[in-house]
Amino acid sequence: MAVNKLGESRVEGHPLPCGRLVEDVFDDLEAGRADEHSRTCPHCATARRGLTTLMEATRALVDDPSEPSPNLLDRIMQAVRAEGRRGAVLPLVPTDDDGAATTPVLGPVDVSQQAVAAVVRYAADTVEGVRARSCHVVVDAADPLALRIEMTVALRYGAGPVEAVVDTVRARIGSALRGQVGVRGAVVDVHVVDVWPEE
Amino acid sequence: MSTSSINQRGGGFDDPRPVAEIRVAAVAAAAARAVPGVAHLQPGLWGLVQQVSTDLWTRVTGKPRPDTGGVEVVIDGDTTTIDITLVTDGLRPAATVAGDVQREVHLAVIDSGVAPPARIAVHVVDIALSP
Repeated sequence: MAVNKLGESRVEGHPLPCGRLVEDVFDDLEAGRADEHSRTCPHCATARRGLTTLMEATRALVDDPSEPSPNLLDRIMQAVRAEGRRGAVLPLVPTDDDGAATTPVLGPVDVSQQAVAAVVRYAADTVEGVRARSCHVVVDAADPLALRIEMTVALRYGAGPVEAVVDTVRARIGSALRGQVGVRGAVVDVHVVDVWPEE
Repeated sequence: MSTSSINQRGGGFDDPRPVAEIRVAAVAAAAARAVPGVAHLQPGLWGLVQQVSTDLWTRVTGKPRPDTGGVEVVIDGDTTTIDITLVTDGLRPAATVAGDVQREVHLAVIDSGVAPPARIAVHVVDIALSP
């Protein structure tokens, strides 16, 4: 237990230059008490003013009848997802509407690897009889405007010749990369890892 | 309590940097949001906490503060650097949207009377998938 300069006891506290603790000033304020020291001490007066402002703000928040905004949960989930996607990123070359690299270079641009993988998987899923599985994306070492994609897919039995289906998958992925990311697929390796029966 | 005091850093109460950074961030955020293809700016978890605090601050005091979530500005001496984190709408290539954001933010910051930023980094954390 701590004892302040005025001989008052307190377990923990934040002492003012006069020796009184902020916590004691707060207690007096709440109880409406004022002794001779607190009436004349400038430090206690300053603390009282600050605490009064804080109490008013707290009361205003407690009394505020408004509910949290309806999209608060969405905002939290978006932030959580974004936090997870800040990890692995791919450098992007800023381009104009014709796909040419822009100058001057104003700073780095990057895109979440997971976001690009989601675009690729979504594009593959649009092909009839194809379900995307895993997807790994890296920048092509020889061309910063191109990506190397390695993905696995499952095919529906009877969806058509594997080669033709995979060609369609590659075309859709290439189109999605150009249209949604702004890069080319230099290499798109597609591994068929499963076949499911026709329903 | 003033806007500057709640953004206080180590430079004392006369340090104008936090307020200047909020002003630049507000200009950059508005310019970035106006670029076609930007679905929204995306704060992380800490940025979201700051946004919610901003909402509360506005509600309690009646004094609005700009929504700068997704934009980080650091002014160090004469050097200004800006980091913008955003989600694209998937209707334009992310690389093109990012390039436009850099150019528009660069111009908007200069128009606001601030020295040209030394670096404007754009981070695309998500791309909206077309239905």
